Amino acid sequence: MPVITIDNKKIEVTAGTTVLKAALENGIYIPHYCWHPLLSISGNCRMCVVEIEGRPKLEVSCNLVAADGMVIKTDTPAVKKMRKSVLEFLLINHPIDCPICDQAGECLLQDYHFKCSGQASRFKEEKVHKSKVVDAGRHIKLDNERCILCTRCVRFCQEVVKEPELTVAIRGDRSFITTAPGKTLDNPYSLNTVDICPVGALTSKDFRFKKRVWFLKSTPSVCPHCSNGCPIWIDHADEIMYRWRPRQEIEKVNGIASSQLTGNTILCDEGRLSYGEWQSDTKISKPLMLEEGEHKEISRAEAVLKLNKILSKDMKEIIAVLSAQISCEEADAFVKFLREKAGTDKIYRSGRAPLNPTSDDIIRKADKNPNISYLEKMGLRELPANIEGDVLFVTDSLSKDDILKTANLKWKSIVQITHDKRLIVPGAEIILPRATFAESEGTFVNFNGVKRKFSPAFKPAGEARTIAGWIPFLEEGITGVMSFLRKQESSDRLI
Amino acid sequence: MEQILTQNFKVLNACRLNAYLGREGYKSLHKLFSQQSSQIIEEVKKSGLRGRGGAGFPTGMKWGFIPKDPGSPVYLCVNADEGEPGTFKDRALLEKDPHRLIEGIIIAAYAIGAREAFVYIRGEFYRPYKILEAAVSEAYANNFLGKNILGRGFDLDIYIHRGAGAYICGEETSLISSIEGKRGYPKIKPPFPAVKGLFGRPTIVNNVETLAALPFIISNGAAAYAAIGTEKSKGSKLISVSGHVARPGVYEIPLGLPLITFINEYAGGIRNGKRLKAVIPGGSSVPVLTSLEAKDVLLDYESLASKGTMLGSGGMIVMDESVDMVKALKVLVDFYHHESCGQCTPCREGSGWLKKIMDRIESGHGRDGDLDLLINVSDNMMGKTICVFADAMAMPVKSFVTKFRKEFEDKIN
Repeated sequence: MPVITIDNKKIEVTAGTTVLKAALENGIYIPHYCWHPLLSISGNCRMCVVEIEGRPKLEVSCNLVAADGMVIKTDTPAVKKMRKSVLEFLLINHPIDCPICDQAGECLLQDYHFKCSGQASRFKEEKVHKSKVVDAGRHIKLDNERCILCTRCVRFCQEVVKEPELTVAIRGDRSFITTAPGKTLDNPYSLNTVDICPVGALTSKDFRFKKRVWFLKSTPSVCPHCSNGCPIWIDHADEIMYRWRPRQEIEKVNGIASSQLTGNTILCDEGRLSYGEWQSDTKISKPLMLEEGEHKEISRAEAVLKLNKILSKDMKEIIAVLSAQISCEEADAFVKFLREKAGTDKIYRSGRAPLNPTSDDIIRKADKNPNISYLEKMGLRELPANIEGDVLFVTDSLSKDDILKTANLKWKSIVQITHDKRLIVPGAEIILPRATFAESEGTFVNFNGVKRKFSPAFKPAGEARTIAGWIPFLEEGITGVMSFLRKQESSDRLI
Repeated sequence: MEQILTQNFKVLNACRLNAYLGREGYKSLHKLFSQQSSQIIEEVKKSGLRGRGGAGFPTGMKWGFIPKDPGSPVYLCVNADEGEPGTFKDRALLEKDPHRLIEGIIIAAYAIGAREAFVYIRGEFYRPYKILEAAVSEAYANNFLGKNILGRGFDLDIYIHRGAGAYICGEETSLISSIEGKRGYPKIKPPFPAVKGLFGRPTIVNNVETLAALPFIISNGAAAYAAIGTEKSKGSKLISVSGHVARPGVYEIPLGLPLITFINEYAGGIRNGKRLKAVIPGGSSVPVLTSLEAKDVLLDYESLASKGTMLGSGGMIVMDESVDMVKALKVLVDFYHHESCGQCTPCREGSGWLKKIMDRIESGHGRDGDLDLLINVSDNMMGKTICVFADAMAMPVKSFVTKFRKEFEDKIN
């Protein structure tokens, strides 16, 4: 394998790799705009230039194949001078409207200006004016004045999504990004163009003007929208999620926003925007009880008393349905409880199943549950049609089919642990508030068997707990109210 | 001198096949098909022929870059996108002697192993396009093109592709992008076209004038061609001269002709008895020469390089003492600003910046420091982009401002 030297550091590289990749993978950061690991090499921004021993001219490192014995310098006066001049060129027609730009704080123009230039503008002319606030598509606004024409977005649509919706039009400093006449940027991955845009040209309509990014905290998590289970960052502040971003699984951050580095993950728009579903007005934060046809909030003690009535006296057959929305840890704990404490083995699986699930061969999977593989591996079967029992336990939700299967049966009670009123199964008598994946810790196993951990972004709302967190209370329901009251104090902190 | 490229220019209807055949047209093909392609490449190398589009790269050497076993079709692209301001020599060849070009295309295609040739002709060249199209039809009808040419087992098809009005598409990788149906953006190198060009296949791009010189070389031998010109700049060259000369037009010269001799004897001297002020010798992209520099320079690659300029495309623009150099540069800067494709940062932004400074200076609103800024911005563009367009803009700016600085200063103060 070729060995090259970058800034006096000897690096063994795979044959055929470029100097830029080799540098980034070895912790040497070369500033760049147009190069992106998912995309073909364009070489237009001219930012990633390096000096090569024995060659007269600076060359762009993105297109420079590492050859054995090559000696590269990334920080010579000539390189620094060129970067400075490229930045000057990029900024002469840029509106520098950082105070009102959503990209501020994670903008490569800002970052590199402070890192590589810092010089005041020598440009005293009228700037080129271009179209702004362009409605580029369902989810995207485009500001052509902020654009540096790196063509990452154009190449992303062409090469990754294979929907060449974007192009550059007109020439020279009048060039701008646009769609074909009458067409819009509406591919199912359009919001990735916002991530890969190194500046504030493409912004998400959903996120625009919602929050300055420096107020956001990022928590590593997993998108629960389908069985692909993409790694995500939950960007949140004050217990509110503002956006999800794709997360690289191996982080190599040098103080620059991670998605701009060697990340190669993307998210589909529907998954990315599904964060809203998890924080709607119908979110449940207290136990609910069905009374005169309505679900009324009750205390945890009242809930346990009610559970005790349902479960402890004249214990009948329990049927349990685990949703593929719950974590491995929740599923393990709940199955253990069901078998050992509730004395049932009639445990089935369900999950969300929209009518026309979207799927493709990029990342979207038709199964819209993040943990279906794990429940299948546990040996849980789908709910049979002719199921019979007295008490039905539901976690998260039932699919529409499963609701139909259970609807006409004479349940003595339905107990459900879920986070949203919209998911309540008709006739559910007791509903315990469930901590969402954003509020807890756990693991999902995706369609491919890849395990991914998620962490709590913030505390559960109100009295919500994970399913595992509710098990002591369910046990109390079975064994008797008195012991529950004794234990209440110590289990209060159990999520 | 012996006329090679212009020998049919004054022949009536030389653009028709019959007239061309009557002038020993397509004679080289018999010799061509009796030799191996490697022999042809060797012959062209020996002739010393260099690319006449502007860069002056040795033609035989360029052909030699085609991989030995390409494993896929090889293409020949003919650069007829003559767009360099001051250059109109390919147009003359296309209109007056199109069969010479077709014959040259057959030779080049045979040498590099191409079975398809794409002529990329400037969109504004409607008349040359119609003439070339008719000539190609005639060539097909008489089996100079198509299957089994002259029964010698060589197939060749020519496709004519019209440009849509972009100067940058005369740059070879941009020309390839354009034929591929893409935006006319130059492609980053490597890979070079000879390895991965049109549709990802090995491709040679040759200029019209370069190809038109081939029939003579093959018919008469490399030595006959190399006998013309100087030791290092061999052969003849078309010079299209415009500006303040008595007889502007297209002339064929032996390389190494003194520039002043050319102006006085070929182009009829400076118009109206005025004095020479400046010459752009090889198309608007090359650095301008003052009359003093022009005095003892020869029209060949080396002599012009020694004066810091280039033979380029041979598009000579002659300026007499009445020319306002600030206005002249503004015209050029406007052109390059209009034509920058906008792909690379330094060129896209620099071209606009230079134009805005020039606009101010020319309209009497120049400021102290503007001239140094023009040179500094030019320096930040030169050699810093995918193709040489940025250099093509920076070179005239730097040379005009440096060599005629006083005129610029007078305009500012």
